Amino acid sequence: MLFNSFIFIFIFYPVVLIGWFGLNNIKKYTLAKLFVVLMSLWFYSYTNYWYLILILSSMIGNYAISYLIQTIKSKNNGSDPLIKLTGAVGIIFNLALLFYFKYYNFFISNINAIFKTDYFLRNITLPLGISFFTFQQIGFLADRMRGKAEHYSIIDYMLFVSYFPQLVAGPIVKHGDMIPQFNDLSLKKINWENVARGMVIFTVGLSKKVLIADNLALIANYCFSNINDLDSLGAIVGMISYTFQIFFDFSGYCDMAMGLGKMMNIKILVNFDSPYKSRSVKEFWRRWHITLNKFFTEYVYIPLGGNRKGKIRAFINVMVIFFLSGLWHGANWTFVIWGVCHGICVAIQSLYDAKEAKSKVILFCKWLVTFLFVNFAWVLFASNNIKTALEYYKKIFSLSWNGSIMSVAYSTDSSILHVPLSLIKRINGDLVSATYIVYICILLGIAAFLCTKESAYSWSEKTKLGTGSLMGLSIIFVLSIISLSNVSPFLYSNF
Amino acid sequence: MEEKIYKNFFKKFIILSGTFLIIIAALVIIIDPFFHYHGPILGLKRIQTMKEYQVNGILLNTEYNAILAGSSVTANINTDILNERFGCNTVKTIASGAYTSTLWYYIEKAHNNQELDYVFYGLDIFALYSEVNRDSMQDQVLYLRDNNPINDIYYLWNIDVLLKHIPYMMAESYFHEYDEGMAYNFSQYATCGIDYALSNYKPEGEIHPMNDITNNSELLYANVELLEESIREHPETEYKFFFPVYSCLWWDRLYRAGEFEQYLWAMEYVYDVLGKYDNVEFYKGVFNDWDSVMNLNNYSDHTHASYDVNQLQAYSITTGEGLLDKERLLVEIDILRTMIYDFEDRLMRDGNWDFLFSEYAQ
Repeated sequence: MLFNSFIFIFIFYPVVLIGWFGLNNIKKYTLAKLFVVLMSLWFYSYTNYWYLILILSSMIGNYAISYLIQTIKSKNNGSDPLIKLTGAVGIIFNLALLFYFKYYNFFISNINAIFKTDYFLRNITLPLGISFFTFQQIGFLADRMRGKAEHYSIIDYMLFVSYFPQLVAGPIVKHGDMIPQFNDLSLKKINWENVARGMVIFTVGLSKKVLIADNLALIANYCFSNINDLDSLGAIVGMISYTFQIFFDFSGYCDMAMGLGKMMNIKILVNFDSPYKSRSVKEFWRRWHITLNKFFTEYVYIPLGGNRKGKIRAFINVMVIFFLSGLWHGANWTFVIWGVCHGICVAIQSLYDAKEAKSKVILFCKWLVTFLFVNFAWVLFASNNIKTALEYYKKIFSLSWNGSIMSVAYSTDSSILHVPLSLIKRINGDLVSATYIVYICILLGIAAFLCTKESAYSWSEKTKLGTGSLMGLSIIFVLSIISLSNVSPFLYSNF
Repeated sequence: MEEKIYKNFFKKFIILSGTFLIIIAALVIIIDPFFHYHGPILGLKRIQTMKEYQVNGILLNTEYNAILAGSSVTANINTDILNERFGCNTVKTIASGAYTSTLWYYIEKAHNNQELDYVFYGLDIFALYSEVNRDSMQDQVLYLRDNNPINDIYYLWNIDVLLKHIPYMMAESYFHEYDEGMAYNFSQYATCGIDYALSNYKPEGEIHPMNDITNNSELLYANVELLEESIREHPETEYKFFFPVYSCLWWDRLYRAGEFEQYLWAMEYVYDVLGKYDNVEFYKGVFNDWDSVMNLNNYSDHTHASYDVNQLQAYSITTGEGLLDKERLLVEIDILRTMIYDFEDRLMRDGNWDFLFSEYAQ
């Protein structure tokens, strides 16, 4: 099920809210948690019931490992090697599951390419959000091994893993951030401020996704599917459109998740903090997909030695986590190269951390270079393979002109344009093309402007909920709702 | 106190948004551009723009006494020509790909809702070899063709319907002279020419030997049986079939696939089965008219002919000049056969399309 769907907004979530607060109100706390678990499982398996088996197996398997660790601890007074072995088996179980569903075909096709073999590929559908809930559980097992996590009740554990706002596209939350909130009695009562502000955040997130990201997607999809027809300008517009599309897609999802959690008095971690304001790639990674970065830092970078073992080891460690980060995003060399490119920038920056500049010109240049780098790197992300990405880069730097910007503009074909275009056609048919171009400029302009603003979460915390915001939010909510008829999945739910 | 402010904000948000959504849904129900709930009211006209969204509603909820059924090549016929001659009110029931069972389903739906005087049917021979599915309405958008009122939400709250189809319907109804005969017609906007006709045509290199004419005949029999059933059950309705026109490139594709003779035989077969009914007439259209088939300046691609050629098909019916009996059908088929074989010989001899630009494009 998608957040941006009628069934979620009008049936699923109202039922969850009523059930959660209703059961908590009559002090059936465990039942309330069980109810949310069951609803989350419905949410996850709505489009494919096989997903239910997968996520249940994953949760039960991990919970069993946690139980085993608990048993060993109580019997052997914490025999370290056995706990580590059990935890390691659990982590391998998670990685094996992830490998099969996400990387099996990638692995086999590389084997076939290298050794000229012809092993068959399997028809495996990538389950939604498998990377997210698998990493969450790996983090949990790692904490169990290190004695940083207790053995929770099965319902608490399942709720932690399957809690629907974070299930399909993150953030990657830690047990310690979520389970205490689920059990905090002070959070069981409806809090109207949280409901109102949560709804505001959700509405802003929904509009980011359906009003901005999905419209930018029309341009980006056209450009990445018709590379041969593009000239330099068309290719640049396509690249920038994708840059903003992925921003509003992911940031819209994160806002919605936070809003949904907030309405239930559950604080979901910030995963996204105005990343395009970054003045270095390193800063970008402190603002983009924050929880993934934290996961890799805590469970990979630091255990590998972090920056404690000299500059060369630190460089290698950074490269390792960015290689893994690229691979985490998708089973394709494009993602790996994208991760490595980011890794190189971050690693070099880590080696030569300069003092913060004060000159506005230098700050602007730093921002510009970072933004351009991120833009060019997204081309890898958006391309199906390296060859396509290279062709796209070639188009950008070809300095060619064939007027393809018009085809790019026509690809938007938004219904918002229909009435203005009809009127313009009547006045002067020659202005139709110009109208499309103006529309693209407005769309990209709005996107760029909003990127510079503070996050929806911090804005909603401060804003006064008066008549103006009521009208504005209602209008964008209604516009978003009537735009749902062409639903589109979130980009990050595929990772 | 603070709690109350937020509670009120939440309530007001729900009420305000709900009101907006109810107003939008009411507007869609009243204007109903896809005729899902009712025919045109308030002086609105039967504006037809998107067949996949409208055919079902039009058949169920509007008034007509004739239908024009067929594929995209039939869509370009101006129904005014038929209405004028036969004094009828024709609606187009066009299905992409023209699956016979889809068109049969439409015809039956029309019979169930209106007294049909005429069925004009563009008989695409390739469609007589399509899969038979009696519940076939795959051409129509699900939420508009099923009986589930809940999924109407996709229609009621739809930005395209609100900002595109409703304004268009109102503008065409109140401010323009809408010509319903041109519904779904795309030939009026298409640019024709040999270059356009050839641009997306990629002939198969190898020429296959001609199939046995009875190849896949079980599909042919099943599809023709569907049409026969409709004809038999509705003797009060006149069925006027015609063979749509295709370019020499379209026939070239069939020739290379070894299906040419099989299709010509299918034309005979369908006539033999359906032509014996009193309420059935067959018209040749311009399917073998030299200029309409060979002159690619009349085509916007290898399948779709110009506006003028399309109307010639309708005139073949209205003037009665194209009326076929078995003897004439065989003669006309032979004319096409000779024309296509000559074309293939020339193509083989020359090894290129150049002659299309000179001798064939006069």
